[in-house]
Amino acid sequence: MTENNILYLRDNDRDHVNRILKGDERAFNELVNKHYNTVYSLAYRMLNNADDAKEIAQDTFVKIYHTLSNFRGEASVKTWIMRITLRLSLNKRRDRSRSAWERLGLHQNKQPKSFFSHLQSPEAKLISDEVSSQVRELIDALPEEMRQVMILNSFENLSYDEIGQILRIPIGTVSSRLYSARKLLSAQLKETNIL
Amino acid sequence: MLFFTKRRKIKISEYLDGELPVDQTLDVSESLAFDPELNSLASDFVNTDKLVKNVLCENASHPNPPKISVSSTDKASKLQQNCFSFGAMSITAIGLVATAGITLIGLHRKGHLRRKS
Repeated sequence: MTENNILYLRDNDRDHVNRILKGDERAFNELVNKHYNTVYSLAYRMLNNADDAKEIAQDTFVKIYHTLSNFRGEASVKTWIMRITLRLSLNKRRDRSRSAWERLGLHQNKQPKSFFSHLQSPEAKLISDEVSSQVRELIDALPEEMRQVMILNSFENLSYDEIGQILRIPIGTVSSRLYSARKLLSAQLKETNIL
Repeated sequence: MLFFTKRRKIKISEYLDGELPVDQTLDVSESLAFDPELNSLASDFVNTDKLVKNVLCENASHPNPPKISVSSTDKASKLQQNCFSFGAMSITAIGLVATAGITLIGLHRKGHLRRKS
């Protein structure tokens, strides 16, 4: 993307934000419709629970509405929204980890959809569901800094630069965390005979 | 030496994400062709990424975005403001009436005010 394009996008964002700040309710609903899927998907990936993801999506847009006047336009609106989503999801995860619900493992969706769902035999489905939940557990068990970059990297083809802006870390740090996450995860996948 | 080895491995990760400039991309492609250890690492990373992406992508369908009404939050805060201003006004009014009453009683006691008989 050229610098002119970035400036153009920032101007578009700025116009949109100004319209919302002037009380244009339609502009706010446009913002919700435009970014809802991104917010929900990111929250879901962070929390692995549809109800929690919906709640975080609602909270994110409420927070956006109340803090929109603080938006300085240093990053794009999307980056800013993703940063808020990530922060709220992390808070939720922390709260959840303290609850007995989490300790008993009851927070997760009971029937995760398999990524081998095209396989029809029940045995194969059972194995693939098990593998799927094992991989999810390994991702969840990664150190938080690694888990965040791993999730963001798998999300909407975000570049290192965009990930760095969301997490407010340098590109070099994104790169080294991602490498460490891949290395650790591939070693664990080998240990569990998945890879 | 260890630093350079790690740096080369990080480059593999960057290469897979398409984050390297063209000249470095060519260097890494060449290394992958001739270095079985790096090649195996790259293949592990590719397979790990596939699994991660598949697992993280299975998040069912997105629900429809809810209608988040801006005016309702505004109205709520305005209502709260109105409640507050009503409360403040009634306290002021009660205070004024009480002060006036006390003043009248005082004046009456001192004999400045007399009832018409």
